[in-house]
Amino acid sequence: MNSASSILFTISLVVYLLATILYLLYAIFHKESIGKVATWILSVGIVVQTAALIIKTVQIGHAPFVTIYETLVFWSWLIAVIYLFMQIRFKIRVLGALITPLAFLAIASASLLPEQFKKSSPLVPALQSGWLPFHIATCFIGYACFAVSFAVSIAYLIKKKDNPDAMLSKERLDIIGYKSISIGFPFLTLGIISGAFWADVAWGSYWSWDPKETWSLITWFIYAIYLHLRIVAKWKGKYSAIVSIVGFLAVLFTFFGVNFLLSGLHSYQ
Amino acid sequence: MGKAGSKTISILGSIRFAVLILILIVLASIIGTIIPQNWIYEQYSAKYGDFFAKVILNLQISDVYHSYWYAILLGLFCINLCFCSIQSFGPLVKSLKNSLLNAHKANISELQNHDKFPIKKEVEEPHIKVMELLARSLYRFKFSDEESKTYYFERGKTGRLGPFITHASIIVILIGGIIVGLFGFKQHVRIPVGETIDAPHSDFQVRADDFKAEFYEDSTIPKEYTSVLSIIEDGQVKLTKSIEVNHPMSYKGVRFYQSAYGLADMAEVELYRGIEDEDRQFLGKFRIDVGEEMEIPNSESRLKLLALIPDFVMDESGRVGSRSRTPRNPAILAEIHEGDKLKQRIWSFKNFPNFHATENSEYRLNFLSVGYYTELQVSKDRGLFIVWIGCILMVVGMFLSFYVPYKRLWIKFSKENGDIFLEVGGRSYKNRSDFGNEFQKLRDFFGNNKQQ
Repeated sequence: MNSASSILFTISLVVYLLATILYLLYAIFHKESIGKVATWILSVGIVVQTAALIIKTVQIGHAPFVTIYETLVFWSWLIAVIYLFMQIRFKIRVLGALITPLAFLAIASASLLPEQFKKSSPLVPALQSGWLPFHIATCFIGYACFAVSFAVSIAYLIKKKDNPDAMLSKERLDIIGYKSISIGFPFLTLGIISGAFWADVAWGSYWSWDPKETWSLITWFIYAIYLHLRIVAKWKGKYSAIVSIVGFLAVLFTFFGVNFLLSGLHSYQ
Repeated sequence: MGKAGSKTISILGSIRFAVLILILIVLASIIGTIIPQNWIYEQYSAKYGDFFAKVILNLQISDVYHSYWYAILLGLFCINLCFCSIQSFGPLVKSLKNSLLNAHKANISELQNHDKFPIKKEVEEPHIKVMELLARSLYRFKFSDEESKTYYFERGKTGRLGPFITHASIIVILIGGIIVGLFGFKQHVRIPVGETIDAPHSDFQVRADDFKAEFYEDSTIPKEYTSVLSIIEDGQVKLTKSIEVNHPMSYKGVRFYQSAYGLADMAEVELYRGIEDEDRQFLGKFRIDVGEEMEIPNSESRLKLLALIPDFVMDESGRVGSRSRTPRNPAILAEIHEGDKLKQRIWSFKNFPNFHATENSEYRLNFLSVGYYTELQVSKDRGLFIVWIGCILMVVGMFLSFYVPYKRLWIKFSKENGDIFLEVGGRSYKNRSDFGNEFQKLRDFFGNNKQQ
């Protein structure tokens, strides 16, 4: 499959790797110029990948959100976009050293999938619906935010004491981890609810306790626990970070585990 | 209410209880995805042994999400939400009501988010400029104290209602779910094309008039399947509509979903008699089941359908078989009998209507279409709209909670040594937001760059 879109996906993969390296160099050497170049390179990667996504959509005639390959690619794109948004919003460039690797990992693992997973298959009737792009996009905006929080939480746990010239204090990491979950959680909610509405139209049942549905609910509950411990019980720092990591493991299981280990209504590949 | 009573309420509405219940729901839900659901005893005992099979069935682990203990967990979750909402509603209303009153008492310099800087000399009427600037960040001016030159602003007050709406929405969804579960029904039915069945739990009938399955080119993946259904009530056709996956129909609150289809072992055929094209006589168009033998009207003959092969192939030794259950190359084998005598045995292919094994045969059978049955999910979901109302409330509540932060700003102008100073203080609900952007905007606009 040497179509234009797959060439562009490969280019964006390489560009994300480059951005990752530059962000890491920036984090190590604290040179503002390297950081600026890293951001530009990342932006180029996003533009290339956006073009690839559009071309792919036109090629296959529907949003490329169906197979595990397509969703991984979309996930990496969202992580990159959401990170760029957060960099502008929170004005912390060194965060790129934590998060661009995730965008790279997502698209790299997509490209490492065996060839038969990379083919786009035509849409079965249940998937021919306007709800498909909405449901997948909202779920994955949530997942991308949770990925950001995961990376930040890992960094929080690894990081020893703050030294005064650190570019990112532990406290700041903690807050960003919380912020990205609070940005993502309403989207996961919207994703689950739009899925229920779609299921009602397509299958005649808004909730079937299908493993994917159940695991998305489990993920939702774990982040609900995180938010309540944080907001009401004032948990911060280490324990908060651990719950965020557990939540992301649930995301990964919802995404990969359910597809490969459990079968149900959501088995489309 | 006694002391013990109010203590019970505060425990049941507490965050600890909430987290405990949520963790238990998570664990229970995980169990339900690991242990296969809705198996029978023999299946469980083959996998887990007799003892655990009994445990699984007796504790309803075989159907976790409909078990009594899962219902109890959801019930406790509901109770927790109710008590938590009741406890927080009073203080919430009070604090929203008194926000302006409290704002009067605030001491700007003691606020956690605080900034103070001298402003540029050339700015005229700075308090008007502040209002314009903050309005762009969605702040509303609330009141001013002209004496102390203090101005108070707020934004996102409705956001405070978010958590309350979200919690209430879960209760609404659960109530809706219970009503749907108690008063609705769900059932799968199979209707062979051409047949009529009684609609489940209803006083009317459904007839499958037609079914079509379309496939993607060179593929067994279905592109679209469509059933044409007629509703028959009191012997009259009330409604005829075609349904597809994602496009159900409904009649009197009963909804019909296209859920699956299959080959009904039935063929639609046309029968002709006569060797020469000129004097060939049309005997009729029939639907006939595999194994069925039918009288041909206005004749002595009978038609019998022996076999239907959906995907005809013949191997090297001439043995006939079917490659798949997908009707890619459907063929039928039929016999014509006259009295006790077998007159003719006919192969007919749907995709090759002009193929006739024997040229000079008396009967000609055209295979028009493969018979399908359509599988429908028939359901009535009374109260489903309650679930959707709950869902809408939840989305609204969530976005209010996380995207509409409640923020309050105090701005004070003071004169010190001939300079005018702008002092700003901010407070957000439970310190969930910072004021970096607002302070930066104020400094960018008013700040005396030389002194920065």
